[in-house]
Amino acid sequence: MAKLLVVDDEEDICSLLKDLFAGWGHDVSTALEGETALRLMELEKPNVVFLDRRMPGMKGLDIMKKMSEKGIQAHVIVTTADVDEKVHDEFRSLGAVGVLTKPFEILKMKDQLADMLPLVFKDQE
Amino acid sequence: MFFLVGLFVLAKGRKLSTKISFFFACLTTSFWQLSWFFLLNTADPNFAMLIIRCGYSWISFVPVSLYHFALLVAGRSQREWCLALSYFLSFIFLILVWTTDLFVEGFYEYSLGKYPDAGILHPLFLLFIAVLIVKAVIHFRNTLTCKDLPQVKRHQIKLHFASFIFYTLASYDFMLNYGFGLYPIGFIFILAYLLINGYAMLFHQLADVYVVIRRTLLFTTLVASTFLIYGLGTYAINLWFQNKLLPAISAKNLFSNTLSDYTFSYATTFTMLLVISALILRKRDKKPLHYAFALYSLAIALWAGFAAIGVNVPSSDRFSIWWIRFCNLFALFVPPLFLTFLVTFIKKEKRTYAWLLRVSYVVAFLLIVANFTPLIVKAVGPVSSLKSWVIRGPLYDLETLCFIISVVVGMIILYRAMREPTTDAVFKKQVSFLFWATLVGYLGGTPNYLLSYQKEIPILMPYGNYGIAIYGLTLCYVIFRYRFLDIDVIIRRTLIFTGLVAAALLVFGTITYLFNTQLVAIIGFGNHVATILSLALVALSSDKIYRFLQVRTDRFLFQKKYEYQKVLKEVARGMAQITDLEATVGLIRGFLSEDMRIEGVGVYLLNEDSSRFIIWDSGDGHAVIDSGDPLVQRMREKRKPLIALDLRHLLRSIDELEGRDHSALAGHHAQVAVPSFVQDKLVSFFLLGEKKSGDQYNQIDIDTLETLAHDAAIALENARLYDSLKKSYEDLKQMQAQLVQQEKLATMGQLSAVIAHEMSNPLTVIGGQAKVRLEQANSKSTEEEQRFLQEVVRQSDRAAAIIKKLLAFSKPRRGETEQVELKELLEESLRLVHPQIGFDNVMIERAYTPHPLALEGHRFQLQEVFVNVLRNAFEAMPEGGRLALALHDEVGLQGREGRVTIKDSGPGIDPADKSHLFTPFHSTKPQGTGLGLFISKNIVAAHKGRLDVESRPGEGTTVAITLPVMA
Repeated sequence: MAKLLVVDDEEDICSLLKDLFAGWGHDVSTALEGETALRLMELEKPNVVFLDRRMPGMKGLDIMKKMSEKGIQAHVIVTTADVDEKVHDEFRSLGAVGVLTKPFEILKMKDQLADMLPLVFKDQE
Repeated sequence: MFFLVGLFVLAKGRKLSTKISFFFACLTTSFWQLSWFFLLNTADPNFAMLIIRCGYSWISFVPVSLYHFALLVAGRSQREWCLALSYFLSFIFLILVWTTDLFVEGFYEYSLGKYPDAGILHPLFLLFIAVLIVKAVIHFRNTLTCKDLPQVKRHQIKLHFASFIFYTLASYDFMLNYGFGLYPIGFIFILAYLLINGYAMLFHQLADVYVVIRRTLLFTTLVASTFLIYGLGTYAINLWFQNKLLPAISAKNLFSNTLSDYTFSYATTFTMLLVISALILRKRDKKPLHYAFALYSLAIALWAGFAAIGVNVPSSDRFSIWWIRFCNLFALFVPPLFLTFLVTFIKKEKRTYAWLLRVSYVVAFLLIVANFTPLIVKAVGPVSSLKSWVIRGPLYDLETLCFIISVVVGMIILYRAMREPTTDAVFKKQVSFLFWATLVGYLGGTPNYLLSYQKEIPILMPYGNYGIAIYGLTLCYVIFRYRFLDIDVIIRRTLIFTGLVAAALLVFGTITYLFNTQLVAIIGFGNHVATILSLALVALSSDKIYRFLQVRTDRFLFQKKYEYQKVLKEVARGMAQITDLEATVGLIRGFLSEDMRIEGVGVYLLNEDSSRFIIWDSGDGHAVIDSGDPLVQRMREKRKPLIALDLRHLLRSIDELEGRDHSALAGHHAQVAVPSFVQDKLVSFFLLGEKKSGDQYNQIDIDTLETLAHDAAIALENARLYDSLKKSYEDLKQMQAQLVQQEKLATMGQLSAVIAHEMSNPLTVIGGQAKVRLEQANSKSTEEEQRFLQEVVRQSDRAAAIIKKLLAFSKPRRGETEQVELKELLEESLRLVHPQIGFDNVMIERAYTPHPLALEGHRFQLQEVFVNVLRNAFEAMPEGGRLALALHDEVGLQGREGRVTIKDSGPGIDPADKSHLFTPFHSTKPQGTGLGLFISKNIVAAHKGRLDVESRPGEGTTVAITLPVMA
């Protein structure tokens, strides 16, 4: 049972992840762009934030920077279509705990998340 | 004279109608004149009538032939009806002449002799002539008024017009037919015609006989002067000896007595050696060897010459002693000159023999002075059949002694030189020939001295003198075959000249004889005519004879050259047509080894960067000679073929100087090196071994090789350029193809990136929502529904994987390149794959080149390629098998390349599938994306390499990845 925030400019993705994670028993909020996301982060104080890297307006990376500026503490998982390992490393060095590549492989996603944040995602139904 | 000119023109050989018509004109005129000449001088009336008819036969055709020629010169068409009619009419006149008296009635006598009398129809003939004249004039005028006439033609026509007018004036002669007893000066006008036309020919190229005339004049002069000299000489000798002419010279009693034997042998020796020395001196070569030999031969020649005359002079004659003294004088010259020649020839240090030479010269000088006193030749007296010979004075024995000593010493020197080991085979042969020839010569010549001692060895004298002649002949042989003194060309020309003179003499003699015997009876005189006529004949045919003889002597003496030239022409033509380097070199090598019959042929070509010469072999001989090599430098300097002696000497000296091993060349047994230059650049050369026949290379061979090299130079250069052009073109095509491919990929990549991107989200939602639904598993969903949803998720995941792969592939190549070492990468990839698949019953064989193969590239991508291929290999051998890995170092179009081969012992690829190997999304694997090989191939291509797959069902699959590596 954790608080999750999904940030993605595509509403379908947001609602999908919301349904999925809610089905796993978590509390999910969504945001379509950076400003809203940051406000929600300050309000709701989620445990995990899913950030889409490529968004119009504030990019995922910018949001991360803002987060550290504001001292918001949360686990960040970046969602991106980029498969380049180097880029992933870059994210990790900036503080992301993991990277999810799009398109999501739904069957594997659970295990991937379990690896990244075992406390949150292990032993899901 | 007309006849002569006509023959001239015809002799030129070309069958232009102009020439034929001119010849015809000349013919008619000449015979006409000839007949008149006879006529005027004959006494017999019947004969006169016959002559008249003959003459008029020719006269009938004179106008028409002149008209015809005039037409041609004026450039008018020959197909005039008028011309045909004229010929017809002439023919009619001809018939009239022979059948009736209407034309010519007979003859009458007048002051100068007989002359034909005009018949009734004669005026018709005159009319005919007049018409033709008028027509011709009209033609001339028409042509000359033509504006666009070239200057030369204009001159020709004007001249011819003038000459034509002159000829018409010759009709004056017809006046005589009507009884006017005038002097037939018509011939003057005809002469003028001839002269003017001759001038036109010479200076305005009418009928192009300029060269022929020049050569004929030259020849005539030569022959005339020869005869003059002969005549004068005979006359002079006659005078001096009061007609006691040298009996030996008359061919009849040549072998009737021993005196003539002697004379003949002396004369032969004289002639031959004189000719040889003259030839050598003519060469104007500054070589001391040539001079020495020439003088030596000259001395012997002069000795023989004086001897030839001297022995025929009766000893009572007051000049006899001088003949003999002069003979002896030259005999005294022989020993020192002989020694000088030898010393120069064997190239020994002058100092060693300087004392010897000095002594011999001093002694000779003393003896020469003494020669003119009675000390040596006291007197002359008959010896056996000789009319005069030496009667010894007190010092004569000294002379004999000196002579013998010189000969012996000379022979010793020669013998030593012959025995001395030397690598120069040519020199050796020359020396040995010289030794034996000289031996024979002196064996034959020395007994002459015995005559002075009143001893005559029966057979040896005088036939021994022929030994000297043999010596002369041997020299000729050596000259030809062994390039001794290099005068083959001069000898050839001499032979031709001799041939010509002999032919001339023959003709002259025959005609003179014929005329003298036959015609004297009729005419009453004939000598001069005969002489002139025969001279004329000879002069005319000289050109033809000259050419004929030239070809014949060429063929006989220089048969090889003739043959070579024929083949060389073929080769040159072949080379001009072929542009393929391989074929050109093949052609050259074929000619050298087959036609010229040379062993060990090596054709060396300058390589791309002009740094060295590589032998172009169809085999794999890769002998390389550096551009800075002394051999090459030497060739550049001399720009001529280097021959055995020079070559080996050079190689030896180079080796000594540089301590470098030229064994490649020496092992080549190279005898000749022939360079080929294009303008000033040395582009190739041939190294040639011995001739298969074992003979030495003579001048003919060298000339031929030079010609070949010259022809080859451009051909080879062309072929080489063509070759490299072709290669560049191929390269360019390949690179273009690659570029196009990359462009295609880039575009495709961009497109697929966009598609993938757009596709990924909807896809995710499909799968995601299905999963969500699945996880909300409750009693609401049936088993069927669950299965359905699972399938949806599974398939959308599959699609997602594909899209990911596509996205990965289509990403613009970001990231820096790094140095990737192939062996290391391969092994690493193997480690990645091997544990993954976990097949332990696969035997791995490795064959790696020791050289490191590294390139600048994207390591990650290359690794993906190797991993992909290795995985395929392993998956092809689920039951185990053999995996052969190999790394080769190769040289390809772009330079150094590394080739990675991965071969499995699996079932191989079906030919049907083979064509789809690299087609994206085509896979034989159940869960395969079908992208593996496609992406791999493109990665390799992006690195400027190639990925090839070879496979046959049952024989396993071999994947070869070729990548350009750093040198």
